[in-house]
Amino acid sequence: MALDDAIIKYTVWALYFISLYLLIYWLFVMFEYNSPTPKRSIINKEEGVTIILPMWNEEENIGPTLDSLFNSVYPKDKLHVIVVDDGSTDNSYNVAKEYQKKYTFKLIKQKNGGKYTALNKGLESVKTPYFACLDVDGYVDKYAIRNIQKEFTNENIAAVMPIMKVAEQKNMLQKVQSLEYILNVFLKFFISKINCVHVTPGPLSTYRTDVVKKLGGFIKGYNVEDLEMALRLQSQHYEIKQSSDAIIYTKCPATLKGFIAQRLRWYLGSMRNVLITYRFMIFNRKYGEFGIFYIPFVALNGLLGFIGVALVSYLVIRSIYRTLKYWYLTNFDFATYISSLTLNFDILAFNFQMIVTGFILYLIIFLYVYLGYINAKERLNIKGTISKTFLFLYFFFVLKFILAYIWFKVFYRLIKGDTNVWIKSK
Amino acid sequence: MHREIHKSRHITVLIIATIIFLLGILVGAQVEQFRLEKLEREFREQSRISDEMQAEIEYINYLLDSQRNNGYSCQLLVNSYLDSIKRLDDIVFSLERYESSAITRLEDYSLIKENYFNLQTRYYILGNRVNSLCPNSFDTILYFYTNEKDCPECEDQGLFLDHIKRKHQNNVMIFSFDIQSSVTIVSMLSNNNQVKSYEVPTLIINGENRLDFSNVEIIEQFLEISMEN
Repeated sequence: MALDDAIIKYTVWALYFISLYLLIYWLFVMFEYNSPTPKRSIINKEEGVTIILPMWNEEENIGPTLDSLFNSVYPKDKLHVIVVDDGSTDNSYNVAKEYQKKYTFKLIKQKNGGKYTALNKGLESVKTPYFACLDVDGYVDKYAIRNIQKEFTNENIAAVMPIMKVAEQKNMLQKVQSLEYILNVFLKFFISKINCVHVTPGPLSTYRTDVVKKLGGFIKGYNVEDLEMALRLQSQHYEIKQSSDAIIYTKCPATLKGFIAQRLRWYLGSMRNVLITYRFMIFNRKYGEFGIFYIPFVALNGLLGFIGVALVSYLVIRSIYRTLKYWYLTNFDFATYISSLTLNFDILAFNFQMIVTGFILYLIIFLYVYLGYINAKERLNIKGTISKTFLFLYFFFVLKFILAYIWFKVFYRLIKGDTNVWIKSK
Repeated sequence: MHREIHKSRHITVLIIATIIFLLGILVGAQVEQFRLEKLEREFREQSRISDEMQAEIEYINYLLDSQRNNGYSCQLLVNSYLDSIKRLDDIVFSLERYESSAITRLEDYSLIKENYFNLQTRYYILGNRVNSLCPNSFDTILYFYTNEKDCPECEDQGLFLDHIKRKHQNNVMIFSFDIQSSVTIVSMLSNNNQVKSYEVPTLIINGENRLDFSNVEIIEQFLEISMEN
């Protein structure tokens, strides 16, 4: 066997085994923690919550977001809203000011300093025991705030995340991202059971005010302040939970360019925080499963994905190269090539090792997709699950190539020490 | 604050993942067993067919000597030979596909390849006899090669010959031998044609014309029967 074939074969087997291990691990966690978590009843003890909306050039979105927020089923005297305009250059501030005639909320204007500065500005004014961040392009389900509150069942829980869904699914890119969000939420539900959450996403992640203030508020955190805050909470041994029924709808990039820009920011920020600021947690037994298993996985995740896609790309390019080389050497005699093509079907020639393990992997993915949609309160029939599974495979085989390209840029920038600032992703 | 590490969960998951992984390997190993058995059966069958062909040739030879030959006998003989060698080509195609994905029992594939060289030599000799009895049946190319590391041009030479075969089909018979094979008959063939291991790729066309690395156009200049047809 040629050296490159041997390297490819054993690398594929290694990646395959790692994927199997991870999928089975999460299935185990799922079955272990399948019983519903007791929730705090807030009917007799409703507590105040402040929603901070950092805003930058969102004149079209601020209105609908405020509408959804004030439409929430939550005692109006317990719900406070602060909009922080972070130096918008469009009409956002004026639109928000108009909405003050309709709703009661605080509106703060500041010079542009980045999202984290807007959050901290809002935090200064928070007097309630809980606060949440809400991106201005997010719409809350009317029970979301109430349902999130129920998850704060003990003092050690410092943050709770909602179920994020994609609001608009106009093209394949958005449909695939919608699937990805649902599956991520499902995974996070079980990740949170073993306290391994490493990011509290921007839209409606809710925090204990005193904890965040004690930790000093938000910092820039390589432009992923939500991820940095989650890691900081983990480093202080707080718990972060995933809500099972608090739903928020958010927008996701509709164009490939926007998608790449967003993911580049996420992944670069994630790697910088994990490998630089919080590297002391990697393989540190003091942090339990999070330190020994999960955070090393986060650190390696991008690299493994990149290797997998690089391998597939190499095989495809090699195959194309060999075909082109054949045609070039034979003076592009297509007629002879096509007329001599025969179908040589031999069932024994199939790679049965790959087929058997691939089939089992597909079954696990099928189960994962089905349960993921149930978790997101979207029941699917078998046909719907099959079509979503194929969407997942589309994500895996098409979008993964794009993600591999993004990961390549991430590693390149990490090595180069590039400190590029925010990339506008929408 | 104490944070747990669930060793038992990790161990259990590792065991299950390993079992599933090994299941695939075991299924693959069983399939390899089937493949090897299939190849061995087919090679034995081809060997028997080549013995039958030997008898046919002797009979045709007798007919020619006794001047009772007609073109019909030659036609039958050539067709029989072409059918037989086509089946040999199919077996070799399977052998190469199986070997490329084999994990275990790679030595068994090497043994089968050695059998293939023996059988191929027999067909080469048979082919020469068919041509001598029934002239202008087909061109023959004897091709000596070795692995890519020792012969970087062999891969391209193989592509050229592949194209020659696609283009001229049954008008040309190509017999390929790895010059580093331990099979005695291969050494005899290379010595007889004065081909050294460092001289590969080397082509012997119709037993007369010797070429080094050559593209399609150059090879075709020496293919008398193929180009006429």
